[in-house]
Amino acid sequence: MSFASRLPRCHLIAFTLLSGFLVAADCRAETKNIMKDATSVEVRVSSRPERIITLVPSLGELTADLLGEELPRLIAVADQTDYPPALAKLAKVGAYHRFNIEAVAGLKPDLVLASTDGNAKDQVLRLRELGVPVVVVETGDFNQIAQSMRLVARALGRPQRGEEMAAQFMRGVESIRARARSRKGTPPKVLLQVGSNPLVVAGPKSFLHEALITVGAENIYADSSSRYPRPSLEDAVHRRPDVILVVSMGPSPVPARNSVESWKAFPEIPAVKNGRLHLLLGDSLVRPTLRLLEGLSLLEKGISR
Amino acid sequence: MKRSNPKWFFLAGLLTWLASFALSLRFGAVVDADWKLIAQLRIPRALLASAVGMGLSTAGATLQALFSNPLCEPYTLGISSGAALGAVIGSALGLQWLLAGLTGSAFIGALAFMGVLFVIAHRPNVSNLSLLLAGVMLGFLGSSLLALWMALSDPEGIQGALVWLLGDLSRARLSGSVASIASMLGLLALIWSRSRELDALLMGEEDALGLGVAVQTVRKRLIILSSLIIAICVSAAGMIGFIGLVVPHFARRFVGSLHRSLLPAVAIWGAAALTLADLVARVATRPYELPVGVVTALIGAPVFLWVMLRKRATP
Amino acid sequence: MSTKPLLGVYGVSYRFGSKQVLDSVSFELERGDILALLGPNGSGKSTLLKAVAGIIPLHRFRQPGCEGVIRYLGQDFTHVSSRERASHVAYVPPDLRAEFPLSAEEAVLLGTSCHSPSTTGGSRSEEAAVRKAMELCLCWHLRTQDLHTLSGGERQLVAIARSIAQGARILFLDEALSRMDLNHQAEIGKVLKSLASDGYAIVLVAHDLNLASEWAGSALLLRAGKQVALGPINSALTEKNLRILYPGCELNVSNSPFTGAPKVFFGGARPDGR
Repeated sequence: MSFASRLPRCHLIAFTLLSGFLVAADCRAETKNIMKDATSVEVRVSSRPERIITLVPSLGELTADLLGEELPRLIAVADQTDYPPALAKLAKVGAYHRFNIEAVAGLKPDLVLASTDGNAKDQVLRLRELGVPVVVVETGDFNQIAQSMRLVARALGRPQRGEEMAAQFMRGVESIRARARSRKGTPPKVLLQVGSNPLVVAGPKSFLHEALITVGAENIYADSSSRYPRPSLEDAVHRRPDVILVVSMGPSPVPARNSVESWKAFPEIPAVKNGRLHLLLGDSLVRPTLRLLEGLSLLEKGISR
Repeated sequence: MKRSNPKWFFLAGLLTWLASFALSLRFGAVVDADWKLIAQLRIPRALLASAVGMGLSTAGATLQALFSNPLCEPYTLGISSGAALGAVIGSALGLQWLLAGLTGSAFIGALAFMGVLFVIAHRPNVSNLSLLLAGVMLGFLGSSLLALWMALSDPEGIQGALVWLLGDLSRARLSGSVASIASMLGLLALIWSRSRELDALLMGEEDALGLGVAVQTVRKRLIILSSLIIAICVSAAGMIGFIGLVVPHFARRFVGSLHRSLLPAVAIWGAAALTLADLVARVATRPYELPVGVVTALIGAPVFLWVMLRKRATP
Repeated sequence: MSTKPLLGVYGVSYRFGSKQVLDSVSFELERGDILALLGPNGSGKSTLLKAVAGIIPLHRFRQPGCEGVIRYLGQDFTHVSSRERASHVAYVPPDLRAEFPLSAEEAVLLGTSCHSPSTTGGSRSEEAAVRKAMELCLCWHLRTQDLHTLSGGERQLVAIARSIAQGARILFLDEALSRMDLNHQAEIGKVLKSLASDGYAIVLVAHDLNLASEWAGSALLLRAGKQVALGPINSALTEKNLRILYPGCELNVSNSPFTGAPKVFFGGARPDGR
């Protein structure tokens, strides 16, 4: 009178098959993906990483966006990761340009996200040597930014959200481009300043440059060979930009305001003469995330005033 | 003149080093580290700190005796500038992705500068003073070229160079650290085996000649040996100051200037000092690391001043 | 009977830049000799001693105006190694200075380094040699004191002890007596005399002519690198020779009431200024 003997045999077989399938499905959740990151390195990542660390503020932002309500999977971030505000309370692993390897490895992450724009190559190498899976993204231009969204989403196990985000981003960019195309007149010559003492401007290999081109402006330092050239004041004055935009990064806008004021000493520059000297606040312009779209419209306003 | 027994002083140094080493394994950026982390990160780093501390202090003591000048230190001859220049050129050529890339190019840079010094030392009729000045000029040349590169390059490149310049033991790997210790011990033994020659140089070039030392030959030999030590230390860990200057003075206070007792003392106390300094650098402001060169300067400068002031007190 | 002199120096000339510092100077030393090397400042006395002791390289660079032959017991000594030379000839500098903490005993120990540069230790025999040298020079009681706490005179005793520990039997004392008080000078004199009777040969440079004449048996007078006189002290230290050395001075030479050695009396500047 055993229970098993009462069940018809086909039910037993079905039950076995079903449990087998469920067990197999469970195993599949544990298997690792092998994915190629932006530097063409193959990385083994588990399909659902639960202990994630981001090594630059923008990746923290991107990850938080993609994880949504599953934010607790992100366990530590780099310094100055402050958007969204919830991230400011997370454990820190040091400054992005020289993070603490022991702190990262000690947290036993199963996914670390790094960027070529900010993290030190030798440190990333070292993490990989220690067996930590590191996915590196590139954010040099808008295509790469869109790709980075897809890449990170894939690493996090949320590929559709990544596709949606990338598509949203490219749509936003395209509409700004269209507006720019429809605008009449010659593109204004713009000096996009990101630092002072010494003067640091956006050069051709930065996504800030691409932002300028997208909104229909001309970067007066498009002929430079470095990402963030440091020209002399003389040279900047000589190039006679039509618009000067000073981007304020960091906690206080005061240094940027001072930079704006100091340009007024050169009335021979068209930008100063015509009052087209503007301060752009906020870091929406310098984070290669979805918020860049906000930054682009800020930029748009800046060059049309 | 109060002096300690050299054997006891060495033993004290050995105990201090062992304690520093143990503490370096126990404490770090992470509060509860597992054995894997300790083995992979902390052991190589503590070993490298010991090797570099040993090397820099030995090189400092050797150069001080060679030029009979208590202000000499490993960076006086400009070898470190050569290493810095080599590292920077290596990173410009994109060698960082290679495992030993930057270390290798730094080493080559240091050897190039050593070669220049050797050629100068080989010329007849070159006094210690001329050689010293040549080294200082090489140092200036190197650091100016470095500054030039930094002014012309991207800010990211500068960050890397700055960290390197201030001394950075975080690049330690087990194989490299073991190799460093082995080579330091070997080079130290080579210098120690001819301690009497170093002793004879203490009173100056002329006196040494009068005592029968073939000064030019000895000088070339010692320059090569100490440059090799400095090249290895600086390529592995950047420029860490003060250890090479202060530890020899500290040890002399206790065991005197004769190198048979001085060199082993200098080596073990140098190892202990840098291991301790690195511990402080890693733990004092965790998870941020202080540059170890800053820690050695903050501790080294007051110690050095103390030594100088004490010297002035005695007529 | 021609015995070879302990040290023979023949035709030593040395040119530095455009100045001919030494012009064909020769002298010989026998065991037990004490030779006084006299002359005004810049006459080349130190250069001569340093050249013979190997501190100034006489022949290394084959420069014009630099030549000389040095013989030790008849054998050529000019091209011998530093170590070989140091074991026979020792140069005692005017002042022993070290920038580093060194005790008197350690400073003397440095003298033995030429014997065994590649061993790391000071063996028993070396320690014994150091003690013997320091006792001979009356400075053994200063052995643990740091060099810079000693007086100039005490440092000189240590310097001489170092040269003895070096094993050299020919000592060149360059201005060794300048800093000493009369007590120390008397002590050194005793030491020098005992060394000479032991078979050492000593060359003594001194500005104080009377001090030199007290112990020296012979004298070599130099002026502007040229040899003015060489011979036994009484025949070398004459008014005529001294007038060549010090033309602006009024000098008188008489014999000491104690020893018969020539003593020089200084009478101020000469009225005609020459």
